Amino acid sequence: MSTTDLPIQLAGQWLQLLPERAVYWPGQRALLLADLHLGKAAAFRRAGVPVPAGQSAATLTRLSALIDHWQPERVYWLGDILHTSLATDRDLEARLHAWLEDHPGVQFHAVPGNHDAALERLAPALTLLTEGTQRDGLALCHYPDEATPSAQPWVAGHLHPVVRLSGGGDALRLPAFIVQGDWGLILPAFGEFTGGAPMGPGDGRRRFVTTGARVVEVGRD
Amino acid sequence: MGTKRGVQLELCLARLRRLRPGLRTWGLSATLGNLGEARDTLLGEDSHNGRLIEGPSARPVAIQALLPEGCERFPWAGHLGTRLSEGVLAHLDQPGTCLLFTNTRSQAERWFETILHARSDWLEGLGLHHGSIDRRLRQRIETGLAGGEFRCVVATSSLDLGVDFSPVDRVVQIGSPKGIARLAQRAGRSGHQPDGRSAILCVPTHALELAEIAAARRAWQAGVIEARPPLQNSLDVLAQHLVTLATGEGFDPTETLAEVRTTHAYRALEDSAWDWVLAFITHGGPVLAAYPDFQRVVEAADGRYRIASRQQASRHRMSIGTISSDTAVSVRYQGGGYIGSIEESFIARLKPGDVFLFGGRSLELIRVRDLTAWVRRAHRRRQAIPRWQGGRLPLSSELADQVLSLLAEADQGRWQEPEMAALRPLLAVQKRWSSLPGPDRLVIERTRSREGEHLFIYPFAGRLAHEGLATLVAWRLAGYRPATYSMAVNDYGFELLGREMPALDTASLGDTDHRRSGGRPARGHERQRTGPASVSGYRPHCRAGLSGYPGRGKSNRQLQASSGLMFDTLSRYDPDNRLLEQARREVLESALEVERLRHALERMTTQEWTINHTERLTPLAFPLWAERLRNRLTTQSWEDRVAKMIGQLEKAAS
Repeated sequence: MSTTDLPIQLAGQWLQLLPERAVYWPGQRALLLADLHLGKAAAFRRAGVPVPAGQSAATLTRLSALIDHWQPERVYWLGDILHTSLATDRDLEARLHAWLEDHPGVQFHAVPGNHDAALERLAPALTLLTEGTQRDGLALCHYPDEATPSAQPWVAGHLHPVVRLSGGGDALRLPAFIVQGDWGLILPAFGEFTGGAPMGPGDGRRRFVTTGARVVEVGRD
Repeated sequence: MGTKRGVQLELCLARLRRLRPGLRTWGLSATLGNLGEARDTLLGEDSHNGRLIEGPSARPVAIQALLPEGCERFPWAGHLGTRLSEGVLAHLDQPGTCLLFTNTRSQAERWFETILHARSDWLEGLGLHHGSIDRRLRQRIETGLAGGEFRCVVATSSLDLGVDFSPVDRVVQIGSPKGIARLAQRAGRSGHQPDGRSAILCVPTHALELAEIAAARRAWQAGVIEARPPLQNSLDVLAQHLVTLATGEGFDPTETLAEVRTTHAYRALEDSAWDWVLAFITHGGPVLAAYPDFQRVVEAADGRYRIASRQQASRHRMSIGTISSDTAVSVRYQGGGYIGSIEESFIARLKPGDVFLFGGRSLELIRVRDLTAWVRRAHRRRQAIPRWQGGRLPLSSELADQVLSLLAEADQGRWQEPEMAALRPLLAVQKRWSSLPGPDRLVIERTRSREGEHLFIYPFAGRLAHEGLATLVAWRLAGYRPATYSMAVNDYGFELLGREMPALDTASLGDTDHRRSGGRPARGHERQRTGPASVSGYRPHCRAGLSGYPGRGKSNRQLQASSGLMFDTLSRYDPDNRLLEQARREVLESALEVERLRHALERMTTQEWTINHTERLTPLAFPLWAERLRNRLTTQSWEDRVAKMIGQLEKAAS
C-alpha cells in the first residue's frame, strides 16, 4: 500500500492520499475517512428494493485492513458513517459495537454528517466531535466550506467526488480527492454502495483520482 | 410495439381476456413493416383467429427537400443547418400553422431561438415542445395548436405519437429523417386538405442528408417501411406486473403463469425464469441470505401471492411505469416557478454563474440542490445548450440500404432525384478522390495526417452498430500489434485513428463470429447500462428524490442510488440476478444493435472491398474527422479548425 500513496501538503501538514479512498495523516498518526454509508443496502431492502447484502461488511473489512497496515492511533470519520438511523437498524448497531471492540488500540472520532442519526449509541467507543473541530490547524468537517479562499483550512467529505475521464470514445468514472487551493481537501466516499458527484476542473482546484491501486493527479483538461 | 410499454400492454390484455373471454381487440397502424408479427403481439396465442384488414394504399406523402443554393461541398458533421434558416423562414411566412420537427432537444432549442430572433413579432404564436418541458406547458401548446393559436411549434419526437390534435398546414423536418416510418408519421401531422396529401419539407443539416431525404421518398413510394420487432421475456416488466396483481386481489401462481404464457412476449417463458421472478418479488432472490429484511410480496396460506403491506402497495403505485431515464433535475426559478426538467449529466457540467438555453430562455445557474437547479433569467447571450440523451437514434437499415442504392446509381451516372442532382458536385469529388459505396461495395479509405494514420470504413449500418464495429475492428487490429486507437462514428461509417495502422487482413476483419474472436462490446455495455438496469424493481429509487411521496418529501433521499451503482452492486453481491443478464442482453440488442452488427459483418464478407489510399479527407471522411475533433475541443476552437479544413479541402477539390 505505502508505495502507491501520494503525499500532499495542506496548511503545513503532510497528508497521504491512499488509493483505498482514505487519507493517512502522519502528524496525527491518524486515518481520515468520509461517507461510509453503512446500512444503506438494508435501508433499501426495508423499503422494498431488493439490494443484496454484504456492502457494509465489505466496507468494514477494508477499514480493518487499513488499520492493520497503518497502525494509526486514531481514526477520524468525517460524516455519513451511517446511512439511516442506528435506531432503525439494531443488527448494524450490534455489528458496529463488535467491530469497534475488535480495534481496542485505536481511538475513533466522528464528525456527524447529514445521514448520521443516533450515532451516540456507539459511545463511549466512539467520540463525537462537532463540525469544524480543529486538529493541528486543520478543521475536521463533513461539509466542505464553499468560501474561496476559506479562512480556515479544512478536510471534509459529503460530496462523494468522482472524476470522469474520457478519451477516444472511452470513458471511466473514478473516485477522486479534490484539493481546493491551499485550504481544503474533499475525500472520496469510502463506502461500497455509494454514488458519486462528477467534479470538473476549476480555478485553483486539483483533482487526484484513485484507481484502487494508485493515486494519480489528473490535468485541467 | 417494440417497447416495454408494449410488453406491459400485452400482459394487461392477457389479464382482460381471462376476465372477459371472447374480448375483441383492435389494433391500428399506418407505419409498421411487420404487420403479421404485430397481430401476434396484440392477440397472443389466439392470433390465428385474428384478421388483418388492410385499407386502401397509404395516403401519398410528398417528401421534399429544401435544396441549398450552391451545395456546400463539404458537409459539416453536426452542423445545425441554421444556414438554411432563411429558406425555412420563408416557408414559415406562408399563412397557416406549422410544425417544425427536430431530432434532438438541443436542436429544438436552437431553432426556437433562431426563429424568435428573426421574427420577434411572432413571440405569441411560437411554441417549443419537448420532453423536458413542464407537462402543463406542453398541454397548453397541444391545445393551443388545436385551436390555431400557434403559428409555429418547434417540437421533438414528443409530438410524434399519441398526441391527438387537429392537423397543421405544414410540417418541416430538420435534419436526418432517420427512418421511413418516422418521417411518414411526422408528415401525417399535416395535410388533411382537400387533395388529402401530406407534405413534409425536409431541411438537411449537412449535405449528405440530401441523399437520406431522397432515399426516404423512394422507400415510401416502394412501400418499404421499418419493422418493429417486439420484445421477448422482459423479466423486469413481468416482476412489476406480478406485484401489481398482488396489490389487487392477489394471484394464483399456476393460473397466472398460464395467463402470462398466452402473450407473445412470454410464450416461451421457462419455468426456471418464472420461479426466479416469484422468488425475486417475495424475498429478493433465490438466495435467502442475500436479502435480509426484504419483503414485497408474500405467499399467503391459501397459496395466493399478496402484497406484503399497505406501505408496499402505495410505494408500488407511486413508482409503476416502464420508462427509464437519466436522473432528472428539475429547473426552477429562484422565485419558485417550475420550468422543466433536465438531465443530471448536463447540469453537472455547469458551474454556478454559467448561462444555458432551456425552454427557449436564457438562464443563469445559481446552484443545484436536492435534484433542483435554481436559476434566474440571464441577460447575457446563451453559452451552453443542454445535450439530452435522445440524439443517438440511428439511421434505420431500410433507409440506409436505400441510400446505398442511390449512391450506386450515382456511381453509374444516374441522377434521377433532385436531391441527388444537388449532391452531384460533392459525390463527384468523392468518386474522384476515392469511390462511392454501394450495396455491393464496401469502401475503405486510409489516409495520413499530422495526427497519424486514419482508417475510414463505411458499412452504412447506423451509428450504434458502427460503435460496436469500430470497437471490434480496433480490437482486431490491436491483435496484430498493441496500440491505442481513437474512434468516431456516424450513421454512414466510422473512423479509427492510430499512430500507425497495420495492413488490413480482409479475411479476419470480416469474421462474423465476433464472440470467438473476443470482440466483446464490453465498453459500450458499461456506458449504456444505465438504461436497462433502471427499470422495474430498481426504478422508483433512481428518481425518488424527484417523484417522491406525497407528504414524505426529503426522507426519500435516503433511497437514492443511480442505476449504474445498482448494476455494480448487483454484479458484485448477487451475480446470478437474472435482471443483470437481461440488462446485458438488452444493451446488446437495443443499445448496440447486435443483430444489425452481425448483419453488417455478414454483408461485409460478400461485398467487394475497395481500399483507397487518399491524399486527404474525402467528403465521406470529413464529418467523421470533425466529429472526433469535436469531442476533444471546445466549440470555438472546433469551429475554427473545421472552417480552416473546409477551406483547404475546397481548394484541393476545385
